[in-house]
Amino acid sequence: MDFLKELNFPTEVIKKIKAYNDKSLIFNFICSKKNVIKNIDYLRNIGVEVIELLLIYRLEFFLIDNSMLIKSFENFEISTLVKLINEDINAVNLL
Amino acid sequence: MRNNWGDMMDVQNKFIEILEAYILKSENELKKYYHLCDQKINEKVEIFNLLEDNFDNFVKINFKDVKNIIYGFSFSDERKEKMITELNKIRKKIQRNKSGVVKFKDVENDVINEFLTSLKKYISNKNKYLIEPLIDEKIIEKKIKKYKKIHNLLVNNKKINFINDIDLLNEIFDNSGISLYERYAIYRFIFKYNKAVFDRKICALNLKELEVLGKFDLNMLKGIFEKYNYDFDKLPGDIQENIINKAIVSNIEEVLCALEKNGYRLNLENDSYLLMSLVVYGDKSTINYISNLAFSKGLTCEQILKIGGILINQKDVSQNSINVYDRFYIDRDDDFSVVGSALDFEKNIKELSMWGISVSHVYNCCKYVLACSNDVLSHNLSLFQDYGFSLRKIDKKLCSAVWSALMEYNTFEIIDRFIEVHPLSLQYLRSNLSVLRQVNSLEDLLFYKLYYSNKYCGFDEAFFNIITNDDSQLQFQGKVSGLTSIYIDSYKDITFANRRDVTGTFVPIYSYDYNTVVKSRMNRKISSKIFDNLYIQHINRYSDYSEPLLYNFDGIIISKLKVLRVFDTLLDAGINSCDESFLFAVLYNTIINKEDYEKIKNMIKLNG
Repeated sequence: MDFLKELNFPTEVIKKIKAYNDKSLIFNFICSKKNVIKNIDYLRNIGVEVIELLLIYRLEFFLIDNSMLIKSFENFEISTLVKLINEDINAVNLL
Repeated sequence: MRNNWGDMMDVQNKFIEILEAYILKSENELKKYYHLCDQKINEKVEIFNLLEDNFDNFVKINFKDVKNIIYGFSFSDERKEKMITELNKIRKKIQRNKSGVVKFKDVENDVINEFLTSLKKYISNKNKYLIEPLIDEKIIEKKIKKYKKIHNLLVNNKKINFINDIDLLNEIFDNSGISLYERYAIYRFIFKYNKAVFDRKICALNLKELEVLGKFDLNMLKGIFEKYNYDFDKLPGDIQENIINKAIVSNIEEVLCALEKNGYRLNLENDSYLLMSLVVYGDKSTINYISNLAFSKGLTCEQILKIGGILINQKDVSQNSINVYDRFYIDRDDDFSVVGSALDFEKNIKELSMWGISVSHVYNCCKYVLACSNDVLSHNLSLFQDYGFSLRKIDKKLCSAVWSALMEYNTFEIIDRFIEVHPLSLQYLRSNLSVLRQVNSLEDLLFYKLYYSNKYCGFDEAFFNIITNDDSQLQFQGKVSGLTSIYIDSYKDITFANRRDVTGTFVPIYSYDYNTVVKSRMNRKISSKIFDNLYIQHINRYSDYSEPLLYNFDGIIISKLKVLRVFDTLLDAGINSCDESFLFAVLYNTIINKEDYEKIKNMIKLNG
């Protein structure tokens, strides 16, 4: 999971990701590295601040195909949705 | 010592270290022996006898031999040279003498005596070693050669030849002072090493193109990938390296063939890590078996590749091995973690069909559930049924909360506490079941914050309702959830240390240790006879009709399943059904203040 370090995520977060998630999920996460990076970039661009929390508690969210993720977000008023997500990460359940 | 034996490299290095020390020791022994012993001792004895008899025989001896003898004496070089010079003069004197016995001067006699005494001493010393040989030097020389051979194999790490002289190794270990544990570690290493040699030799037998055993032919490898239309050069460098270092050539061929046969097509740009994992750790029989299973449940190749770990067999490494690997991990080198979940996938498929849930439905909701630990899935499926969390609802969400929560190992105790701290919690939980993945402990501050917000700040403080795209859903208020930063929990300055003080949490004291009874015996199942109990029947009047899972004691929310479960456990353990034991069951793990405690205490009494 070195690619997360390259994206400036602290070691503490990476440790928590490994501790809180099923190992097979982490393997699939590593296999989908390119897609994950695209998703992280997109979320950063739209202003999501709780990416670390999403990585720890909703890792499978990043495995969603990037184009599908963007399409889903565009069904909403993005800035409002981002605000909701920043308050409660479970707001991604709206997507 | 145990902590130093982290992995195979450590063991290999230790083995090399032991061998080097033993080789050095043996060579030194041999050197010492040669130094002490003299192969030409018999010649020297002859010379001595000749000279003792009559020193005039000195001229018959080759002077070169005399010099060598003198060099073998244990005095200083200067003294040796002086002796040689003097003896040379004496020799010439003897040579010049034509008549009878030579007469030597005193000083010449001294030199001759010194020479003969030294020679006698030398002979007697060396003879000691001939009579009692300390070592059989030929055997030692042979052994040293064998030790060096093994040493070379390890240092060069080419895995060309087997290490199979266990008797020799036993001898080394007996004399190296290593512990039994270390010895076993090295034997296990040898076993793995020999297996790698075997695999390579088998590959070489199958592929005539391999020029030298142990030497890797990159072009041949690229050829195999090309045969199946994969361009090896397009793989990232670290992936290529991992394949070259760890893959077995014949297995690469088999895996790629199996993938093609089953209709898989991997994209080198996105699936390189998965491809590496498959060719290094996969095998054709697992790929075939799992593919058939998955196809029979309606999954396509493309779908299967998205949870590609299911095509890799899980390796169950026994507890006795040097590295106690997590039961999922196959390889942990350099952050290349590969997890096979074939076994869990198979069990999960069976489990889901028992529940009547279609695999494609699960796939569409949250595909990773299919590959997650079967223990966890099994436990959660039963648990969620008890709590009425719907799994059959057609979930068109991008990232299903319910199915996501199934991957989390969570106990009913956490769900109970969650639904008790706030009247809206259960409603929140139903549409945000994934929150269970955030809460891992009963003492999570979220519970105290929700309790506080409801008790002292009002109903609306913790949650708000969102209506969006025809969907109505509860969300946490940011200030209560405190999720704006993972490091700061600042709602009402509630911290772990002051959580009970701030919320006014009262911890009741009971006359009996019901806690220990419950903790040691509790399981999920509730027996039907509990419903006949008078206390249970008595509090039925407090059932919340809009939420059948809850009791509502005038605003105090209690989880019904919890009461039934705990009380059933107590009664089953032989505890009397009485006010106190029932109160314990009702308030088990409940966050409550003193005032509410007194209120509920009266309400649950049979004559109350």
